[in-house]
This record gives sequence, structure tokens and C-alpha cells, in this order.
Amino acid sequence: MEKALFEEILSRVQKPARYLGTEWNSVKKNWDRVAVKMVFAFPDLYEVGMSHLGLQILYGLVNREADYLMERVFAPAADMEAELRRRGLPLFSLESRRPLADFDVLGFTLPYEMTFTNILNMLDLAGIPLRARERADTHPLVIGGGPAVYNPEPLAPFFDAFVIGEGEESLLEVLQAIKQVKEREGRPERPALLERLGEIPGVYIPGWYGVEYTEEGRVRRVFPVKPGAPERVRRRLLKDLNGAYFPEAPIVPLAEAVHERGMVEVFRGCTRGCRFCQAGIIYRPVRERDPQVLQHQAGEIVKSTGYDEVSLVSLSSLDYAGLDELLPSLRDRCSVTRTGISLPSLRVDSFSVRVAGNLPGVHRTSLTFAPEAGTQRLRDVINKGVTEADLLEAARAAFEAGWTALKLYFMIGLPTEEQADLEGIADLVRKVRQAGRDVFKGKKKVRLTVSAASFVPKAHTPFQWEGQVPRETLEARHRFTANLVRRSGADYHWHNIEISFIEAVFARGDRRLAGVLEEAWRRGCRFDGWTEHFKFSLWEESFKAAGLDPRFYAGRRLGYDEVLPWEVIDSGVDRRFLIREHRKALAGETTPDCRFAGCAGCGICPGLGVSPRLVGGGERKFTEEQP
Amino acid sequence: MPKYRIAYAKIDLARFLSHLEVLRTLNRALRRSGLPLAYTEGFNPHPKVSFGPSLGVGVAGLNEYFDLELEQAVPLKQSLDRVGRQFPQGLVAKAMAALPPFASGLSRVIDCAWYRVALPPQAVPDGRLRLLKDLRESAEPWLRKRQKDGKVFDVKRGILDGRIVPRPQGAVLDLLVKVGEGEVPLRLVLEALWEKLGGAEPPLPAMVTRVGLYRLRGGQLVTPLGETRGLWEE
Repeated sequence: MEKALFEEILSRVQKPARYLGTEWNSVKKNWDRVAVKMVFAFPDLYEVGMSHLGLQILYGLVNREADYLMERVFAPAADMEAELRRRGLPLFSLESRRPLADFDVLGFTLPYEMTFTNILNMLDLAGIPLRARERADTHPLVIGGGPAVYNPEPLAPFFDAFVIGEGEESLLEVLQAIKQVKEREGRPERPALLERLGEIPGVYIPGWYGVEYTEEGRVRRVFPVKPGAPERVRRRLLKDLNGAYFPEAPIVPLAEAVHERGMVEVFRGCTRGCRFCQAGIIYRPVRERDPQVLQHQAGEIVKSTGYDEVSLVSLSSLDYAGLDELLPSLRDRCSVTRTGISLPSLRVDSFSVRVAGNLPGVHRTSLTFAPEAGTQRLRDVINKGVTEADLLEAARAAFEAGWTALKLYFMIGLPTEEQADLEGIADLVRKVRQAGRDVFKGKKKVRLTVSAASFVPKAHTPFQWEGQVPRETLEARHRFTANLVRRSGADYHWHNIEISFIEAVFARGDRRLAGVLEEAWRRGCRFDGWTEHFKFSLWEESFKAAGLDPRFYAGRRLGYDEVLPWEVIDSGVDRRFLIREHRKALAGETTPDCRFAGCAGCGICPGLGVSPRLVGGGERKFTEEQP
Repeated sequence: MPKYRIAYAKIDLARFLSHLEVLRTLNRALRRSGLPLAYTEGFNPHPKVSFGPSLGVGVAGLNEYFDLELEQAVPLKQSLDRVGRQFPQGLVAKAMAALPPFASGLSRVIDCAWYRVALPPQAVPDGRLRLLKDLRESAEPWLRKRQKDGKVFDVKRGILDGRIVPRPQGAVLDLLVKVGEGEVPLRLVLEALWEKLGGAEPPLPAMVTRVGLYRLRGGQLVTPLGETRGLWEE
């Protein structure tokens, strides 16, 4: 795009810094000197995407290769979309401001279901046909990755291929394959290209599969229609994080991002085994990075970015076995540059609070805990290994360390939930308040907030067979709980129920939902995860137009004998383990973490030829030592 | 601890950064530069840096300033290079000066700004003349109301001087306006001028450049680095 035109557009949109592409550590390569050009597309706003670790990892990984380049594009905000459409301009990449259609590969990351309409919108703004079968050889290859590819079926017709699992492991293979085909054939034919990609483990080509439905609308079978296509596509994963690429010079956002800090990934995977949690399945097993490696990476990141905070990220950083070794040395390193250290989430116990309280640069504003359910019975059902005593000790430790505001996360509508579980939430709130009174003795006021989500059954989890409670019931339960909680002296916020409902539809959806998605996008749905943009009535119309009932997808309890549309994707976790976990849940039995107790038999280690990698080579040591 | 003043430009695409974005970006550049920054005390220490008057999104600045405090004295030329190398595209480090002890802060040494507005070719020639005549000779106030709080400003009292310079394409309008005391929001100034010109849409921020920041003393303009300039002298 010409600069004068670009400046004219930038003058007319909010936060133009989102679109400049001139960030520190961004990479703009010589377009004519690389063999394969890829644009990483994030289907949400710049400020969300720039906080995404996956983007930073893949951007650095690809751009350090001489033969490839990777640029970025984010979902344009409504004002930018209007400017582009009004002028008939295509969506462009940030670094070289080229139309997306000029790239060889357009790679979307799929953070979660409510970004799907943005994907269609971005394809349309790029002038690329929505459906893979309508694309010509000259169009870029449209591929997808990220957590939502574990049920890619509602998006199947729109993508040429999905890359399942950890991209560090497979993306360079994909780009190399494209390079080889291009060198052989110039502008390669699409089928030849897909043929070659299909040879790479972890690549799922949805066009190679057919789906049959029963009369009631269930999936009867998913079958390869192309000879040689695998029955199931297994995810890729890194066996060891120590040798894996990690960006030591990440791009520093210009427009303020959701998280403005350097990130080191202390480990990947989590085997605590919460039964609603998809991340707990799809990133198994736990693979920890050595403290020395993290220390080095953190130092380099601080130097190359100038950030005033480094965050130790993972699904549960307090579980890191190398914490005692890492924290003192990291604190020394950070004291010179006055760099703060933060933990994105805290485990519900007093140890976590003490560790967090000793980190430099801590904002003593608010601390968040996630007990998820109000009674021990229900916490056992979901296998959340947290007791009331844990929570109260954690709260007391937080108050003693000077925090006066606590936020508590709960989920409403969990399987087997009863009125007593909702009352239990208010009961916990009362006890936490009392702990605050005991500590502060009236000198300071405690502020408690309950943030309540609605349960969404996710593919590949033990709860994948469970239906979501009907919307009316969910609303009644939230109201009931809100009332009790507010009377116990805490604020109560609940997430938009309709958004959770649509999320549940797509989380367990099949290919027929692609039609609904397209209808919804045509009617103007965008940024559906944002309450202020979400328009439920348009979704209702779209389901009607496509002749599908959303309740069939969100609310139905599935049978163990049913074919599940997403089972064409193999997470490596054994289906029998999921069934076992589901049955144990209904019986109120817990399963301990395999890091501390014995192997739970999820099947991932023998199946994928891996094993948990923990610092010190073995069991987790719990220490109460002050760091 | 020694204090320094750095002059920088915000040009090219960086003109589209907000004041807050510039502030964050330059703070990080300072941290990367490795200069011995002095930090504030407390739980969340941050470098002791203070910026001059804010510049709107889209508006370029040719001579902007910030002050910083260091733990020890540093060589000027070398340090300016070191900092400048860490500035992202469109932000340019231009000059660095050591401040004497007890030097006044930026808000005390700046009371006016020179803005340059690119006028589109279609702006009516005699309209331009009328505008300047009105600006200089009429005692009639130009009242404008600010949207967000309804506060009314007399735009004219915020303007110290103005001129129009023809250019091969169109012309530029130079304005010397008050900063700090008596300041009228730039947006209101431009809206009022455009109304007088009979133009349809006020100029986009990207057509505006802040050429310099000064203190008006005895008919002379003094820059925050202590240099004296005549009116409209770049």
C-alpha cells in the first residue's frame, strides 16, 4: 500500500499504532530474497495477539531461517475494516504492508472458538475465497494451528490444512515442503502441494475426509476419501524444552497490549488433571525447562526489550520443580535493572502466596485464586485438588502479606452441580471475609470479587460427553448464587451466558456448523468473544437459516459409543482414560497428579514416546523455605 | 544526581503514536541503552524521566524533549548515540545537554509551540487572506466548545501569531500558539480556522507538525536547550 494512502487511513482510525508494524524487534526481510513467505494471522485485536506467546515463538523461529519470512496481521477493528472496505483495499501484513494474497502461506492461530467469525472476515478482506475448494493455485495456502485445532471440524471447509500440536516441531517442515514443491514447479498446483504436506506427521487435511450423519443428526462416521490419508492425525510435540527454540528478542508492542512484559516459559503441560480443562490434556506431558536456561533467556529478554517485568508463564508456574533454584538467581539478575518478576496465575495455597509476595515489583492490588467449585464434593468431581483449608490459608497469607483485594474464580453449571454447591460458594466467601477480619482486625477493609464462568464442555476432556446446562437454568443459577454472594459481602460478576452457549456449540461442533459460521459472519458477527460486540440475535438467525439447532450441540449428553467429530484428531491421550476419568468424576473419585503419585495411565507417554521431564529428574519437592 | 535533557523527533509513521505510547516506547529504549538510569524508590521503581507537553496521535514533532536523571555523569555525544540506536523507526534522538543543578523542568521552560499545517491545494486563496486579517485585526472572539466537557475557549486568545507560506503544492499555515497557561486544544484551533476558511473537513492530524517548543522572552523564542530563535526560524 502506498504510504500517503496508508497515512490517510491511519488518521481516521482509533489506535493507529496497531497497524504500523515498526515495533522494536519486528523483522522486515527482503521480499525477493526468500523462498517461502508466510503471514501469521491472529483473529483478534493487536493488543490481544501481541500478548500471545505462540506468535512470538513462531515469528522468531521462522525469521531466523534465511529461506523464509514471517510477517503479522491481526483482526482489524471495525473502523479499520470500514476504511478498507470503503476504499476497496485488501487486508495487509504489518511489516511490508502487502496484501495477504501475496504470501505463500496464511497461517491462522486459533486461540478459541469465539474468534472464528474473525477468521472468515479476514479471509474476505484479503480477497481470498472462504472455502478451500474455491481457491486457485495462485491463492495462499490457508493453514491453522493453536488450541482450537483440537476440534477443527466447524472450520474444516475454510482451511487447506491444520497443523496439530506444537508448531516449533512441525512448522519448519511445512515451509520446507512448500519450498521444495515451489522449486520444482514454480507456482505449484494446490493438490500437489497438499499431497506433499499430507506426508508430514501432524498435518490434517480436512478435504481428504468425508463425514456421514445419522438420521438424528449425529456423526455416523468420519472416513478418509483420499487413499493414504491416515485414519487419525496425531499431534506433534517437543520431547524436551531445553533444546527448543525460544525467542530472546520478542517483538515489543507499540499499542498497549493486554500483557506488557517479557515471558519465559518455565514448562509446558499440566497433569493436575482438572476434568473440564482442555489445556490439561492437549499439552501433556509436563516438560520443564532447566533453571539455567530460563535464567539466561530472561536476561536476554530484558536486555533486548527493555521490559520492566518478566513473567514466568506456564499452566501453573508454582508447580515448577526448579523454583527454589530459579527465583534467587533471577531476582539477583533483575535487581540491577529494577525488573519486576510476576507469576500469571497462583495455585490456591499459602506457599504460592508467600512466593508471590517475595517477588520484586509486585503490585499489591489484587490476587486471584480459582477454587472453581463451592463444595469439596464438587471439587472432587472436577478433580480440582483444592480444599477449603487451602483456600483459607492462602487468603490469610495474602492478607498478612498486605493484599486487601481477592478475586475468586468459580464455574457454574459443572456436571452434578446441586444447590448446595452454589450455596457453598457464598459460604467460602463468608469464611474468606472472616479470615480478612481476623488478620486486619478492622484496620483495613477487604474487597472480595467472585468471577463466575459457565461450564463449557470441551473436546478431548473427560467432560466432553457432558452437555451444557440450558441457558435458562444457567441464568437462574447465576442469579441465585449472585444473590447469596452479594449478601455475603462480595461482588459477583458472571460471564455472558449466550457467549458461553455459542462457545459450547462450536467446542463440540461438526462440519455442518461451517454453514452457520458463514451465515453469522455475513450477518455482521465479529469479535464474538467481546461482550460489547457479541450479537446473539444474529447467531439465532444464522442457526435458523442453516436449519440447525444449537441446543443439539451445546446441551446434548453424548454416549460413549458415539463417534465424536473431533476424534479424527489424536491428542495422544487414550479415549479409555477419558471414559475412566468421566466415570470417576460421576462417582466423586479423584485422580492424583502423575508427577507426585503414580502414573494415571492417560496413555500419552507410551503413545507418543515421551516422558515427563522434571528439573532434578524426579519427584516434585515441596519446600516451605522462604525464597 | 546529574540531569540531562534530550531532544528528539517524532516523525514518519511514529507520528501515529499517542503520547502514552511514545512515553512507554522511549522508556524501554532508555532501559535497553544501558545508561546508568536513576530510579524512583518503592515497590515498582521506574526511571526518573519526565516528558514535555503531549503531542496528539498523528501529529509529528520535530523538536520534542524529555529530561532524565542518571546515577553518574556520562559523555554527551556517546550517550546520545547509545540511546538513539535503541529508538524504533520514526523516533530520532537529536541532541543531548547536561542540565545545571536546580534547572527548571520542561513545563517551566515551555510556554508556546509552533505548529505547521499543510493546507490542501483546494483551500481558497482569498479565504486565506481573510483568515489572517481577521486573526490580526478583529477583536471579535472565536468561541469554540470542547465536546467532552462543554468548556468554552476563545480560540483567538490561544494563538500568538500566524502566517501562510505558499508552496509548490498548496501552502502551509504556521501558527504560534500558547502552551500551558492559556492553551487552547489544538483540535479546537484547527476546527475554528477551518470554519473561517470555509473548508469542509478540518485537517487530519497527519497534516500537522509541531516544529518546535519554546519560551517566549522579549519577542525572542528560546528553546528548552537554551538556543535563541527568531520567529519562524527553523
